[in-house]
Amino acid sequence: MKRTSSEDNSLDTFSSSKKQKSNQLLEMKPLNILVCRYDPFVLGHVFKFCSPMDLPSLAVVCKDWHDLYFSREKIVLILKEWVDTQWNNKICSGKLTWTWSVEYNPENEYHSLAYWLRLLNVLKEVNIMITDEQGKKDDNDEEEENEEEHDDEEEEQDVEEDEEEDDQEDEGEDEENDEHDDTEDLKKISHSVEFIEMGNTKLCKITTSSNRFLLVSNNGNIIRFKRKKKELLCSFYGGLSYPSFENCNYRSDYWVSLVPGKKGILVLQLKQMVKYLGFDDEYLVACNLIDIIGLKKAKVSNSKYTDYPWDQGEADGIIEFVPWEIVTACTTSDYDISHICECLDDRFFNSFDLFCKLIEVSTTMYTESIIKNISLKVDSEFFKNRGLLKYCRQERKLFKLLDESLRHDKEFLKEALRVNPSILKYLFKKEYTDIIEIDRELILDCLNRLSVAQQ
Amino acid sequence: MSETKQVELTSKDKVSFKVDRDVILMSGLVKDMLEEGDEDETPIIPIPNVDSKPLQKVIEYCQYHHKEPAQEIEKPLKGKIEDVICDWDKKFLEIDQSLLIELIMAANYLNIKDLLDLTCAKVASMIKGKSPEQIREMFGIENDFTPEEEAKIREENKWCEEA
Repeated sequence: MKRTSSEDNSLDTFSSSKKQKSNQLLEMKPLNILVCRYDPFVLGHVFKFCSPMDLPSLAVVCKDWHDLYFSREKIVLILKEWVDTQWNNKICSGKLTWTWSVEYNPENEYHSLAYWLRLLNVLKEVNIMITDEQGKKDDNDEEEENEEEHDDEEEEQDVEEDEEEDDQEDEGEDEENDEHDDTEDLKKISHSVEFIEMGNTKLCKITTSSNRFLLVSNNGNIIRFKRKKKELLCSFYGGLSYPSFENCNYRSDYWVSLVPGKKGILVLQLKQMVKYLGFDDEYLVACNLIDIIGLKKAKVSNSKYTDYPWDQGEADGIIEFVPWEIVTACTTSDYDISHICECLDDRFFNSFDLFCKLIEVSTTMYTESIIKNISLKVDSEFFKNRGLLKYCRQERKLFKLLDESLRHDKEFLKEALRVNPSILKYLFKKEYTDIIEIDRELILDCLNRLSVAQQ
Repeated sequence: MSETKQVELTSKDKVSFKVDRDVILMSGLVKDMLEEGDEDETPIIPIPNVDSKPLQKVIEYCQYHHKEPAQEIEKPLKGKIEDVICDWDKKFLEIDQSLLIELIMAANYLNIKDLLDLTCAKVASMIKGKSPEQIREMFGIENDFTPEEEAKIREENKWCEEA
């Protein structure tokens, strides 16, 4: 076993301090010899076999262990080594030189930890790192899923086809047959690995079962896919972008339906996936992606991909990173928004910035229900934040969300009135009269602004 | 018919073991010593850091895995160690903790990677799922964290649950 000189020094110091501390326990615990009488490098070797789930417990056993083996940097290195070994041995098997494009960054340790841990979880998911017992269990789950799928197919035979958009109608039946054949083929493939290189980005498509596969980019980001009935669902499993809300604000266990029939949404979905996987946002890349994921009935023209007006006008630059479920909800009157909160990552509800951006989208789309729904879950402190006031200019109803804060904070109320004098009418309601003393000057000022605005 | 070349190993407690040269070449240390030394009929190699009991187990391991190469144990360990090793290794590891530790030290000293992996993985398997207090008890370690320090590190390591 080889060690560096710096490791030697730290290990020697560690060893001598441990010797003193644990002297009395030596005779009682054979394992203590590893701790205080023997080469600490061996103990490090032991820890390399420990489960990631045990690392937090091991980190608080004693200070020496924490500093020597379980500091953030050390844990990242352990995870990285696990992933590298597993990935190159089991996935690549010498077929391709695979280098992860991201190294440990001490300025963002959490980022690195989440990144390697998620990749490790992918390896677990592709049945490489699970026990036989777990494997059998997963197989059973899959069988049940297949059975369910089969039942669904039977049911579907009695159900009429959903409405398809113009140019897809003619090809509907043929493609349906193709889909069935493809599913049969995939059942035979089960757990195959395919490498795709596009520019500087390498993509690995791992098919884990007849109806599940995942794409892993060498930028570390992961998207999982599954087929259910005729739908293709995907989940942003995270990877490098996971801690970044703007790049990935979905819950990693939320499955989003890809919608080939709705071109605008599909364009947005494709754009987000292309960006997420680290490709250049180009039409041809999007077309390739459609082929790679086998998204049936999906046809997007170059002009629609390039010029679809999602991000134009007032929405410019905002919608790009908003989950497309929310865009759908904002633009579809009969869309069920009850699950909007379920699709957003929990940490989203603690991010005031992202909350503001959602309000911005929402006000742009003239949809208040989204805000109302999300406001039930976000931190109540958000509504005391002056940063929300600027949105009152476009959305009077936002005032209702701020209502509770305004009733108890006169200064806040004054600022709100300055931003949008039309909310003055709410103040005549009885509940305000006993709480806030309204300045005559302020009211006049508001009325003046209001009359100017009306003119 | 040529006779198999042998090597004589002498343990710390002066017990000698004759072993086939090909078998003990699994040890990186012995291999290096044999390459450096003269071509004696039966070279005698002192193993001053290892007692006879663990040395005998080491030889037993080498004799078996010389013919049946050990499968690499993946890191991190998948479940319990018993799930990933062969029946012979399972039987081999049915030893008390003192001998296990002596084997780890012997494998490290003799530079036998597969045996070191097997024994270290066994200890890792014993750690699996244990609380910090149980691990301290297992290794005979005192907790030198203040409650605040421990809480801080636990907070820092929430990543594991979140991810």
